Amino acid sequence: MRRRGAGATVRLALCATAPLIVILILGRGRDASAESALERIHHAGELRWGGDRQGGEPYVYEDPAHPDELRGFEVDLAAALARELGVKPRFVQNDWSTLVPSLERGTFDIALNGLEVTPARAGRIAFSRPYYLFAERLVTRALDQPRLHDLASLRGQRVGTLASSLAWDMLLAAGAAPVPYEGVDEPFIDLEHGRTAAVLLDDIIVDRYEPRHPALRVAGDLGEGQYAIGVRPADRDLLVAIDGALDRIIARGELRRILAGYGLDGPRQGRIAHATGPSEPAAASVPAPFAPVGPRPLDHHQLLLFLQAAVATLLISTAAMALAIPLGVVLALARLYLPRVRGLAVAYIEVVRGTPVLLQLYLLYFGLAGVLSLDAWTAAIVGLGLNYAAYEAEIYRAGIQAIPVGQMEAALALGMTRRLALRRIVMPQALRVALPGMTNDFIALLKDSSLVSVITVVELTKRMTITAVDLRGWLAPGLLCAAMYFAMSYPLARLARRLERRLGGA
Amino acid sequence: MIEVAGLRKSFGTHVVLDGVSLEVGAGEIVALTGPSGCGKTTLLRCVNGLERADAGTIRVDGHEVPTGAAGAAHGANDRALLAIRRRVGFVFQTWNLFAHRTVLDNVIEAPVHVASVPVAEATLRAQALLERVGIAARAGARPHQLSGGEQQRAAIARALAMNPTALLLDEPTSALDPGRRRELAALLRGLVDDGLALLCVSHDPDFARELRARVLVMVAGKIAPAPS
Repeated sequence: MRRRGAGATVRLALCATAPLIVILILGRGRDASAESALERIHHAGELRWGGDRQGGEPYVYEDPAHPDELRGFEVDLAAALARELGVKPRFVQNDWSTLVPSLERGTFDIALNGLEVTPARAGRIAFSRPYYLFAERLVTRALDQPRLHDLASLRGQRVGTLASSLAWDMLLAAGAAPVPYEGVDEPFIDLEHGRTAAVLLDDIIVDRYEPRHPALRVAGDLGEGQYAIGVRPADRDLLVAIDGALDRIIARGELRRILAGYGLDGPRQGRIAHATGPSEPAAASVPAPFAPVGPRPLDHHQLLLFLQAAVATLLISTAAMALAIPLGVVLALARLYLPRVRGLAVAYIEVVRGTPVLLQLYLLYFGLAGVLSLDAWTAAIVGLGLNYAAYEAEIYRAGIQAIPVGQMEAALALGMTRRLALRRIVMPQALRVALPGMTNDFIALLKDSSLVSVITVVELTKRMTITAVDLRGWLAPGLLCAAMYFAMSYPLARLARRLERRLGGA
Repeated sequence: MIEVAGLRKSFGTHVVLDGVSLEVGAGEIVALTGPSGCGKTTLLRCVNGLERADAGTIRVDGHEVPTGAAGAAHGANDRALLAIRRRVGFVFQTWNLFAHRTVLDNVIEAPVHVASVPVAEATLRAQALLERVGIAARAGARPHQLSGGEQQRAAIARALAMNPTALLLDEPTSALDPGRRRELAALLRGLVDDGLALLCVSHDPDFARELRARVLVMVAGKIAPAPS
């Protein structure tokens, strides 16, 4: 009885305090959100700064001697800023292409990683005063140097750069055809192999990567831009504090010492003390940092681009499947009926299935560029086709093995050769078994085709990310993109179902 | 017509056929009976080369069925097998009709694609055969829509479509009631009277009697001596 009484008391006490605890937690939450950004940073004792260590030298990179330590001029700058704010810096790893949305959703306090001040970005986030002035540097093959030297001469040319960068906007405005890359060495590889006519990138990148390619020449600087620190527009006190900290770091010459430590200082940086805010980059005017422009609606031009990208997705997927099916049949038949090459077929299937398709596309397009110079579309189709053939092969093998052995024996007993029996009797029945798996694969392929954007093909998903940056909003382009994928895959599923019924006769 | 002598076949260490000899002449019916697992079905499968016998000789219509280890003469052996199979019809215990084809298409499949008979001609002949086995009305049906007895007849029509000189049947009565069984016996007797050699595996003594077959009993991989 005593025990029971004690238990009841505890339970009663819990019931009474539970609402209080909830109120306390909620109250704390409300207090926390009422805190200003700067108060929050001081409270936490750390400045969380977002960057991508894959951006490499000299921005943010792992120290070769101590891989758990980061180095880079932005690492040093972040440390100096944190010191000025009286807190510790904490690096937050984030894909470079999604730095802005991650900043918006609060993954870190500031974005500090070669973020160029572009109108699209300035429309979404607030920028500090610049900490680096860069040139948009044009690189061509040595032979083309006299012909391609300014923006006007790039009209109609394929020019490699990073998607959604300042150079991207400049090239579009100049009537060139920008080719989007996600890495910094790949644009030069493609230029060297004649897949593009030129490369337009920030001088830091060009200075690091162009010397590795002896056939290339710097053709000139086509404009100037600024790297600045991105802050959420609502965190005004943080922006003011960052600007103040930068002022002091610049005034006592510390910024230029940091830059000099990475070989980045030059006459151009002498002007940084006077560049007080996002001024005019070469190609576009930038709105004031405190007046972010809201999301823009999709217009018919964007819609047309989306349709083109959907056609690209459909073409790549269909062509890749058209390659994967016959190759898959050959692999399955080899595995089942040709003992002499069975080992080869099995090895192909297992290696291709067992390694990422992204890696295979990279190897095919960039890795083999010296031996086999495929254009991006061909590489995309061949890469996806070779990959999916391995999956198709296993679906067909399962289909063939699902057909009772008596079907083959009945055909042989009638005097058919094994080959004829396979073609006339076993394969048509195996197709019926394999069809749902093939449909599944084709739908998966439709979506996997978005991976080919790493080798510069602009398909539906890439178009969506580019448009999202342009429009300063992800919701509308994201929904449109999803709707287009569905509009392609659903009819396909229906069609396959009808075909199954026809083949089944039941 | 079918001559088998000293036939041996083992699966691993398990001896299935231990020196089997038998003969089936043109216009003759031989019923092979014996307990389950005594090697009857394996013998049938050896005769048309679905299994390769380890040793012994098989001759059908004067053509030799390859036996023994497949050696260098592999291609020649394959051609010999194809020639034999066109002369020997085989009706499986489970019929094994082509599941994705209609009854008519099952019957014309081999004449058109193996013997290169024009489709129109093969179709006419197939219709006559289906008429003879009594399922002409089901020509457009798929195998799964047929009863067991109908599938049995369709399989016989399919085997006859190649104009074989010998017909091998594996347990043809397992799915039939006594009435159907008597009909089948009458049908097969009619075919044999036209000169066909017929080797039938069955452990149904009533069926053997209805066929008026010469009965051979197989025990443990050997033909038992005829009771004198």
